[in-house]
Amino acid sequence: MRCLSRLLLLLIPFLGIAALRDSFKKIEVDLPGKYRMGNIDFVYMINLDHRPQKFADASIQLLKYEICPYRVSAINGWELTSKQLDQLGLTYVPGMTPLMATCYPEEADGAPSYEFMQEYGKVYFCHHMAKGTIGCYLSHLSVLQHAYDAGYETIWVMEDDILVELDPWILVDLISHLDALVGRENWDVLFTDPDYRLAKGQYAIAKGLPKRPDFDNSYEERYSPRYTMQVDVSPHFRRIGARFGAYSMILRRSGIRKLLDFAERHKLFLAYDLDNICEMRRYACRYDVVTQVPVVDAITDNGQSEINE
Amino acid sequence: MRFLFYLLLLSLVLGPMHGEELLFEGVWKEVLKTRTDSGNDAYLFLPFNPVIVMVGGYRSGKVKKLAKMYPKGQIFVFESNPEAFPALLKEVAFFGNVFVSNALLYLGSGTFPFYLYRDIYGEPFGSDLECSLLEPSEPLSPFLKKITNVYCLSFTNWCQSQKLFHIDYIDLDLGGCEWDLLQNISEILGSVSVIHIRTHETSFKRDTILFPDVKKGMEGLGFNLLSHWFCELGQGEATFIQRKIFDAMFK
Repeated sequence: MRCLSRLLLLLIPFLGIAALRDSFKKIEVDLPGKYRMGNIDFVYMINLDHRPQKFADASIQLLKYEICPYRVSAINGWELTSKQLDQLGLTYVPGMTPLMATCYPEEADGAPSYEFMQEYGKVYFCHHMAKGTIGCYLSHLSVLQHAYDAGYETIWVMEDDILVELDPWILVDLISHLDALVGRENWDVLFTDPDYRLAKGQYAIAKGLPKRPDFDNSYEERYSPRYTMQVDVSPHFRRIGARFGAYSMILRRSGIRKLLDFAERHKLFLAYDLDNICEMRRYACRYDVVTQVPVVDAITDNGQSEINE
Repeated sequence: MRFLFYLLLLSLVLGPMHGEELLFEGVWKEVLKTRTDSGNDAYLFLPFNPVIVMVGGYRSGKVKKLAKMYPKGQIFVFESNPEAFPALLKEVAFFGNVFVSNALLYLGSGTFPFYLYRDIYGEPFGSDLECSLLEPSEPLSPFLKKITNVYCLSFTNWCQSQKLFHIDYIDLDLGGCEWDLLQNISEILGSVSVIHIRTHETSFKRDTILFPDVKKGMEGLGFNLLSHWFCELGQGEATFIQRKIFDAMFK
């Protein structure tokens, strides 16, 4: 009986694939050609419905260059129910490493519960994973699913807190350049700036992986070269092992597939931009083309629910 | 002349205790430097329905904050200072998740002398409503106490009587007796995630265990220091978390 229950627990992660896709937002576009930009098939910008000013501030910077981003109505994570969250998070099963985590039990009426993982069969997210962050992850996955279903080869996905530093049309040339440099089939994501920026504008260089209960958390693995590398491959590009911030990414179809597969197989535990364990071939521009509004000036949508007032 | 001597002695004690510079140690040293309120790290580790035991709850502000944060929690508050208890009771009367007692949760049951600290003018000494089971040390003794009695409850027996087999958060402000209690309730600490205590870098009370020894002792009980802010040669507040949580987060 114990063996049977353990077997059932081990199968739980595989039973939720359909449930994950059910949480995606359906994206329907009337004139897809309007959002094309050279060799970029589609330009997306993710924005919450109650943040029209953020979308206006971000998109106007692109419209100056006659680039029209498609506004994706973001999933508001604060509106997700406990039942929905149970379909999205990671189920703790034997063999996983217990960590300090977050869950959203129904009896908590939407409040987070911070617990050390102990209960098999219970669904957890990483420590202090806010519902807003979960909504953001789902929004990105919704975009990826739309792009994959539409057959796009290259997409540009942005959040609504971007800062355009250079003419974004150079990205079209940079994509061609990267294709020629490493091979069209040999990269998955290109970040349009060197790294995530902190409040005072300094870069926060991502090296290594955060812990996940379902992966090898040894220091040697998490800080192995494939997750810590920072290799300049040309005056324009750097090959990187990990990266914070998903506010502006150019994705190839291979990268889209990898991200979707990873989320379906391993569920949502960490924030979208922290799950660097996914076997992506990451590159970053060595200078800011499109970066992020400094954090101190930005309005966060991942934080507290009071923004929903 | 004698009066001036004691006045000078008091100023030497009062000076460092009310030093304005805050010092920090612990894992979150850098984070703490930007904060003015150090006492609320516990919320980062608690479930939505925690069991909280506070010994020394006269600062009803903290009790009320916890009561609002955790409407489904249970908060047991013990405040033995007879001058603080009525105000505390009044402040938290409308919270259905707060249970208040005038007893002192400590090692054994019974009535014991209790010192309410006063300065030479009869005003509260040190932090407001400073009180303790510990006597003041000489030569400050004649000036610094008003003795009353307090009823103590054994922590262990009280947990058994309440059928409390699990506590998430313990908050202790026992006027220097924090370590005395903790080292004697080790069997209860297995379920505790977070312990927050008042600390002492020096003391005008006899037999106070100072923080460096408390820290070492806590490590022996399976708790690692998360954060500690304090005044040099004064008092402070420290948060400890259970080692398995500490290792999962920081190792």
